[in-house]
Amino acid sequence: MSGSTDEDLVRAVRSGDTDSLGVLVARWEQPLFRFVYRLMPRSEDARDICQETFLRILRSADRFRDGSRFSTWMYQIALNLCRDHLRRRQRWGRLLTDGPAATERASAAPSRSLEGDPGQAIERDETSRAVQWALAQIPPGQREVLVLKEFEGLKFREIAEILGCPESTVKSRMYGGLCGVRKALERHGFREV
Amino acid sequence: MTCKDWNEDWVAHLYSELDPEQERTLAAHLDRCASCRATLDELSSVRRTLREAAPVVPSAPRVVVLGARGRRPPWLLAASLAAAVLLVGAALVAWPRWTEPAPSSGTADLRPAEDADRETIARMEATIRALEERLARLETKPPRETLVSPAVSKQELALALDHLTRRFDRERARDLESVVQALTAAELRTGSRLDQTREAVHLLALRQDPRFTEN
Repeated sequence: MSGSTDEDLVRAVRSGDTDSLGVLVARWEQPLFRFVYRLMPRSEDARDICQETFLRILRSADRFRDGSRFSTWMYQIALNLCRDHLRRRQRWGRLLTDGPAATERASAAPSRSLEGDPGQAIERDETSRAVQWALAQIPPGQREVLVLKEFEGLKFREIAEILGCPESTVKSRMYGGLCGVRKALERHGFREV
Repeated sequence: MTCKDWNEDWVAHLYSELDPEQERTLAAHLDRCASCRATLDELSSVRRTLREAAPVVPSAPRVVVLGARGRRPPWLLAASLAAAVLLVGAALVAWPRWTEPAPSSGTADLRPAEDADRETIARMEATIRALEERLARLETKPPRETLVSPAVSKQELALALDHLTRRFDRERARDLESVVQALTAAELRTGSRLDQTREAVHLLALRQDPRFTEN
């Protein structure tokens, strides 16, 4: 079973073999969590979404089209769940607080002063947090493309398939995302590596 | 073709997804255009920053798939909805206090807290009472006597109260975050079943606002 392709495993799940789902989970839980974590502000949310993604795969295995790639389908499910979750958080945040200002508090810009920091490790940590913050400043569509391309290493064609849009749109969003991250870092005085 | 038309090709070039013919065409343009060379350098620099300072992702928690959920039993849905309503109710009880301006005198009215926080809040309340007593004593004395009062000046008291107010605001923000987190998690598990509850909650929340009038 460990040598089976993802698509073979999904077909087995479709036939009722839930052990095959266990193999898929073992194979994909880390990459999926990594992808979702970079889109969501909290690791608890990323964990919930990963769990829900695999449950939906189990429930909807009969809808997986032969000839499609499993990873594309999995990323599509996870992405839709992430988008729904972010919309829900904004809705509840607006309802219970004074408005966008309160929900933006969680993504406040990190301190930009690196003066006096003793070592490179601290500087690297500050830069990582600055990058995380800058990623949160760009539009969600650009962030999705940037995460899938830069951190997950997918081809533009694969990303276009996941997002259901033309490849040129994906490249255009990638360009916008890179420019947006650069401007966000510059605005807060972070020196690029 | 203007320089802006190269945007997509720059990106494809950065990630080595241009075919050889496209690479040659791009290289020929870059030879002639300093502006595009500068833009490409900036994009490369951003890529380096993203790669070398990528936010650290913790290890994925184990996903345990216990099998298809199928239809949830009605009691589980009811329990989930009841839990969500309780959380919302707690938020609504606290919500008017969160939107009121901070009281100018008297002990701050605190929401119920976890056991671990009660001691902290009790200490904060005692500190506020002590500070307010000191402020009241200072205010009843003639100005020249305050110059010989021991220890604490009015400015220090004001700063201390401001510090406490900001601590309360941080606690309040944390509480709100917990409520939002619980509500969104509940919605994820129960699907759209909270939609109607959300409308009711919205109306209840609006009713707390003295400016709101129902038509």
